[in-house]
Amino acid sequence: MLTIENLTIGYAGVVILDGLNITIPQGKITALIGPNGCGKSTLLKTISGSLKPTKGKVSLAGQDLSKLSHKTKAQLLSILPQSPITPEGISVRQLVSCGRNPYLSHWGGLSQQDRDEVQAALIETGLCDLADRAVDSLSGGQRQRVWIAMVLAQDTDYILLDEPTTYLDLTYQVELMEMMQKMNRRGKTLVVVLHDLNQACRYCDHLIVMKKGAIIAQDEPHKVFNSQLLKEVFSLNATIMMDPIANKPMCIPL
Amino acid sequence: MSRYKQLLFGGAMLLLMLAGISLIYGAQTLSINTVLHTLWQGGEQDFIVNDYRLPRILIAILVGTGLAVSGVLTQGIIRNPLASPDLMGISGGAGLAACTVLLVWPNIGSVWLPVVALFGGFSAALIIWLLSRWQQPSPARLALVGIAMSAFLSSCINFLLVIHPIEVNSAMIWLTGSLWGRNWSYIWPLLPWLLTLVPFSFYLAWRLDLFALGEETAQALGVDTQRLQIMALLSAVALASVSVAVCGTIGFVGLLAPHLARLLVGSRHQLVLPIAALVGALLVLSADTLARNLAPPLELPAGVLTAILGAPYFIFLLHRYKGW
Ligand SMILES: Nc1ncnc2c1ncn2[C@@H]1O[C@H](COP(=O)(O)OP(=O)(O)OP(=O)(O)O)[C@@H](O)[C@H]1O
Ligand SMILES: [Mg+2]
Repeated sequence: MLTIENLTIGYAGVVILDGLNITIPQGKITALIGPNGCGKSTLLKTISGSLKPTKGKVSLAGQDLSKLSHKTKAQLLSILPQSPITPEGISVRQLVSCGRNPYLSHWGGLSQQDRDEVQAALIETGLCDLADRAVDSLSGGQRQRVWIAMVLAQDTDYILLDEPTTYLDLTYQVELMEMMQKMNRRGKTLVVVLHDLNQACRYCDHLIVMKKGAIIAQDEPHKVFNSQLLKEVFSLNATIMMDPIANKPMCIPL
Repeated sequence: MSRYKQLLFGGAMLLLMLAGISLIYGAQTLSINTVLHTLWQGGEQDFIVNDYRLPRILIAILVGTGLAVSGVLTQGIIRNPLASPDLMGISGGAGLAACTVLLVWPNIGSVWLPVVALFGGFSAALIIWLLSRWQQPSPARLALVGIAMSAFLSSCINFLLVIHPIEVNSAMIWLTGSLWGRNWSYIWPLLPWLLTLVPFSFYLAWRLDLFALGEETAQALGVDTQRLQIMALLSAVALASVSVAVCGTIGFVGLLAPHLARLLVGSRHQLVLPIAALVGALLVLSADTLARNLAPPLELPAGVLTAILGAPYFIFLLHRYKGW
C-alpha cells in the first residue's frame, strides 16, 4: 500500500502542496483529477522521488521510499512524466529498452529476458511495425504509446501515469484504459492523472480529487462523484447520470 | 562489417596515415624508408623521428582524445549543444592557473603542471556551476556566461604576460595551444589520467543515454542523476585540464568532435564516444602537422588552426540553434 503522510512540497519556497495525507489502495486503479495547475504532476513527482518534500514522507508497504536506493525504487515504482524529452534519433526499441535499466548490471547490456520483456511491451502497445523507426519521426500519439511501452517494460508493481491519454485518439484512449485494466488484473497498482472525468469514473476504482494543492475527496467514484463536487472543484454546472453500459457515474455539463 | 565498425576502422586508418605523414614531413623531409628504419633501429635521424616527431604525434592523439571525450561528457550532462570545456571557460581556468604558476616558478616540470591546471579548471567549473545554480540559465545564456568567462580568463593571462615580459617566451608558446617542444616527458604525466578517465567515460556512457531522456525520467529509471552529473562533470573538467596542461588551449576540439561524431553515428553515447575520440585525435594531429609544415622552420600554433575550423562552425551552431 502506498501511503503519503503529511506531505508538504513547493518550488523555490512557494508551497504547492501543504500537509497532504493520501492512501492509495493496493491493487486498484486510482485516478487523480483536478483543474490545471492544482498540483497533480507535483504530487506524482514527489511520489516518484524526483522532487524532495520539505515535510512528510511517502511510504510503500510501511517502508520510507526516500530511504531506498534509486535502483531498488525503480524496480518497485515507475512513472510516465507529463512531458518527457525525446532525444534526437533514438529508435523506438532503444527507448523502450531503457525501461529495463533498473534490472541491468553495472556495465549495462540487455539479457535475453530483458529483450523478451521489451518485445512483449512492443506487442502490447502495437508498436512492432514501428520498432526501428526514430521516435522523433512519429506522430504525437504514436510517441505517447512508445513511452507507455517503456513503462510497461519496466514492469513495476506500482505505476504512475501523468496524463497518458493526451495526444491519443479515442480508440487508443479506450485501448489504453483497457490496457491499464489488464495490468491491474495482473496485480499492478496504478495511479493515473486524467482530465476526462467520465473515463476516470468508468475505468478507475478510486478517485482522488484535488483543488489548489489540497485533497477535496478520495474514495470510490460512486461515493464522491456528484454535481456538488464538480461545482466546487471545477466550477462546473453538471448533472450526474449512471452510465448505462458500465453502470458507473458520468457527468453531463449543463 | 557493420557501418559502425567501418567508420571506426576507417578513422583508425586515417589516423595511422596521418601519423605517417607527420613522421615524414617537417622542417626536414625524410623518406618512408628512413622513418621506418629509424623507428625500428634508431640511427642518424633518431632524434627527429623518435624524440621529436613521434612523441608529438602521440601527445596530439592523447590530447585530441581527452578534449573530445571531455566535450561529449559536458554536452551529455548539460544537454546543451553549445557546451564544451573551452567555451565554458574550463580550459581558460586551467590555462590561467598553469600560466600563473609557470611565471612564478618556471621550472615546475611536466608532472605538476597537470595538477595545477586541474586546480584552475575545477575553479572555473565551480564558478560556472554556482552561476548556473543561481539562475537556471537557458543553454544560450550558459554559453554566453562561459564565453565571457573565457574572455575574462584570457585577458588575465594576457595581463600576466604583459607584466612579466621576460619569462613570456616559454609561457606564451604553450598558451596559444601548441605542441612545440613537447617530448616524451610530457606523455607520462598525461597517460595515467587518460587511461583512467576515458574508460570511466565508457562506464558512464549508457547512463548518459538515460540522462538524455530528462532528469525526471532518468531518475524514474533508477539513475542517481545527481551523482551521474557530478561524476561526468568532474571527469570532463579533469580531462580538459590535463590536456590544457600539456599543450595549452587548443580551442573548439571539444565542441567539434562530439558534434561530428553525433552526425555520423546518432546520439547513443556508447557509439559516440569512440568516434568522437577518433575525430578529436584526427583534428589535433592534423592541426599540429599543418602547423609544423605551413611555414617551416617557423611553427604556427595548432590552436590557431583548430579555431579557423571551429569558429565558423560555432557561428553556424548559434545560427541553427533555436532553443534560446
Ligand atoms: N518547476 C516549477 N517551478 C515553479 N513552479 C512550478 C513548477 N512546476 C509547477 N509549478 C507550479 O506548481 C503548481 C502545480 O503544478 P502542477 O504541474 O503540479 O499542476 P498540474 O495539476 O499537473 O496541472 P496540469 O493539469 O496543467 O498538468 C502550478 O501552480 C505551477 O505553476
Ligand atoms: Mg500536470
